[in-house]
Amino acid sequence: MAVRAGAQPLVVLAGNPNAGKSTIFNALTGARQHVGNWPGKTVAVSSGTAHWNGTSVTLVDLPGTYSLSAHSLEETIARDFILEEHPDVAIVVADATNLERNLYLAVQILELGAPTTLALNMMDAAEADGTIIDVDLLQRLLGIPVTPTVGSKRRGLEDLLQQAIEQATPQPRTVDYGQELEQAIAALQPEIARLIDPRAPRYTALKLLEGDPRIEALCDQSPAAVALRDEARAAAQRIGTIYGDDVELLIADRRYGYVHGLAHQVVTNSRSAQQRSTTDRIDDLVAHRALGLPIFFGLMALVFVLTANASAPFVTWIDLVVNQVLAGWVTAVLTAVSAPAWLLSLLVDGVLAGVGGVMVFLPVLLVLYFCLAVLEDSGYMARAAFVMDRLMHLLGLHGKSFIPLVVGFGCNVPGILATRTLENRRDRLLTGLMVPLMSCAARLPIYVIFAAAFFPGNAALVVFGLYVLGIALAVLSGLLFRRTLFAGTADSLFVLELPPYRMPALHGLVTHMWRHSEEFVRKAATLILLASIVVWALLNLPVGVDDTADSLFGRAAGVVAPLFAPLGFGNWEATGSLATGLVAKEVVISSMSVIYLGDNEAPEPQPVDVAADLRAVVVGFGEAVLESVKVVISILPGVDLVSHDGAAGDTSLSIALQQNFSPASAAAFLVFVLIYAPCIATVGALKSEYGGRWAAFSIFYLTALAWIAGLVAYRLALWLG
Amino acid sequence: MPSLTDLSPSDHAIIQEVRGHGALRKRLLDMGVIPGAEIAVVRVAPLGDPVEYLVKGYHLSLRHSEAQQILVHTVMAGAGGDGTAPEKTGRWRRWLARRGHGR
Repeated sequence: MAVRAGAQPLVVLAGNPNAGKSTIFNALTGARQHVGNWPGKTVAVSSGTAHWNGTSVTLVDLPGTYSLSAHSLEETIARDFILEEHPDVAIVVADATNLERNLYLAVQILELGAPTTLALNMMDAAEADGTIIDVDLLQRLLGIPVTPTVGSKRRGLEDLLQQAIEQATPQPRTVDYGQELEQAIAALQPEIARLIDPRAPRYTALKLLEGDPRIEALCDQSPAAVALRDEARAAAQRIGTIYGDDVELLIADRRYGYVHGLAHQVVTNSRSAQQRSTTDRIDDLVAHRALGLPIFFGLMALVFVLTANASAPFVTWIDLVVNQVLAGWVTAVLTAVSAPAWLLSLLVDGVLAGVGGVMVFLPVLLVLYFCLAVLEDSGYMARAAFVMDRLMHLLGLHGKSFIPLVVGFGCNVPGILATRTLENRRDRLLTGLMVPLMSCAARLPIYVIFAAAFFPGNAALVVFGLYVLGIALAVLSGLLFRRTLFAGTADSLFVLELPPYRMPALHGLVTHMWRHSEEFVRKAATLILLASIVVWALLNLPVGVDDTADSLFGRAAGVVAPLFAPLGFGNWEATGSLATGLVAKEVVISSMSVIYLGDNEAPEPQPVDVAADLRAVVVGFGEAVLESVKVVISILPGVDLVSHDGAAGDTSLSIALQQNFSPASAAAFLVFVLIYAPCIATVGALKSEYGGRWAAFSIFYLTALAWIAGLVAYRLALWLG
Repeated sequence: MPSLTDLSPSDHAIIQEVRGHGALRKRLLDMGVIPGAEIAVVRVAPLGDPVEYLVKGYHLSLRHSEAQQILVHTVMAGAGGDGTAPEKTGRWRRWLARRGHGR
């Protein structure tokens, strides 16, 4: 992604978390946005194009931060982006309901020396609170343009862009840090401009005096700069002894003093402090000592059921469109032109099956992202973290990490993508590595069929046990990774703002939902499609192969099979089925049907009736909508998380399984299925979120763990009889 | 000097000193937890940790280990009449609390 598109002005949005920055970004760019890597860095920034008065502007949404030090990745990104990309304008989005803390960031961005303008956002909420802000006075005191806005209602945004482009001044007022500090800054500035950074010497001087590790590291490049750093350290020490406090504290104190003064002058509040807000009243319930956890688990169950069930009718519909209607048309056309059978098979069983494999995730992701956006935008996510942090902290994780894990029970793919709501990369990665151990819905049919065939009396217990085993292994793996892979990295800070509740703007929710879903499809589509075609090719080569056992796939499975002998299922049939499970876990069962019972599909092309097909597609969509609405409504009285549709009815497969597995090897097989390498879509998600190396690590780790756990299960089962 | 963790819901205090170092201290200072600022305890999370505070006009939640770094001077003991029950110390909570103190 090129940050700058031609000569288009570059505008960045900076601001506190929860200040409504992304709402303004979404409102200004609409669908013309994408998330991409900042060139040369591994961090993602959202950028988009905004049109105003005939000109196009490139808009970049920087991560929300409270400050611009180097102690967190988000702050480093925001700061480096402004320092290195020289935006034409920085728009600081400030929450008008909490002016003081928001101005604290604004004055630091002014210190970076970029032309800046201030958006005074959420003016409606401030007014509702009885807060009146003298915008003209604030403008004069800060020395930069200030525009009142309401991002969620798109008010003031035109003015904001106009002010940003035309009037942002590069010479704003600055904070007076007091005689001693100002003298030290003045002494350092010329040398800093010469040796380190000519654009933001004042900011760099402040950071050197604070002892900011990243800025100090910049000084390592030359002996002169090292001398400068030592000079700054000496000055900091001297000032520290004069005031009896360290410079870090002095600077924060002066800066807060300055913004407190500003806020005091421009804000008039008519509301008495005694009045309790709506947020207080909601929190009395949602963060209640006894009710907080039940409410949280109830909401999680709701998200889980919505993601799994409300999307299910659409998944069926997509399956109808791709695998029946489209496949039928392709078959008809190819048969009409007498195309070779292998081409038909490639298109229908390889390409279309692959496309279908990607598309079926779309409804699931849309629903999930919608739910997550509601939780996030309303402000509940912070309460979820507040309520769950005690438990998750035992694993060294942040309270928010619980949500991706729960979502993972529905499907691992959205679970991994949901780790994005975590602020810290270590937490995202650690949680993402645990998600594949959450038994997704696709693994359930395998459990149910095996449990019914081998442990008829205790089937439910066996299935439940597998879920629990997955959770236990996830916890143990989390502890292991924390002690090994992430040893030495400190647990992330909790220090979390609980923002006031806000009604989420529908427009923002929809944008969020589309953008993230589309991104997954774009990033993972190629991988999934490719894998489907490779598996198809392996199953159908050498040319003219009839029996799966003789295909490249069957032979390869036969070669690998002995590895699984210690687990009790060292035959090519079991191994091959597991391998097809890499495409999607539920495929294991259909592969077993094909392998053990033979292919009983009728390959005859059906006559195609385009009109009837189209009718079926439209009617099917209507039915899916209705069905989905029914599901949503039926959630209210009771929750049934497990559906056993058509699982137990497969008696011929059960008999075949009983002939090929012993109860002990069946147990080992189930444990292996629970743990082994995630499906290709999950690998795609891991790769798109954390990079190829971590995806490879996850495959290797899980497969090794699955083998060991399978062996233990087999031995244990034999020993127990 | 008492730390924030010694306060009970609806107690008000003035921050005297912010200890600790590195990222935690910087973050606290950046969020307005600075000496001289007023801070009040709002509520305790269901499992006893973290705790929600009111500072600089907004709500901030801190873990026990983080709040311990903040030394305060109590100005007003809470009336306790806001429906928040006094701290209960069951075995489970005591165990969790011990785990929290360990780090």
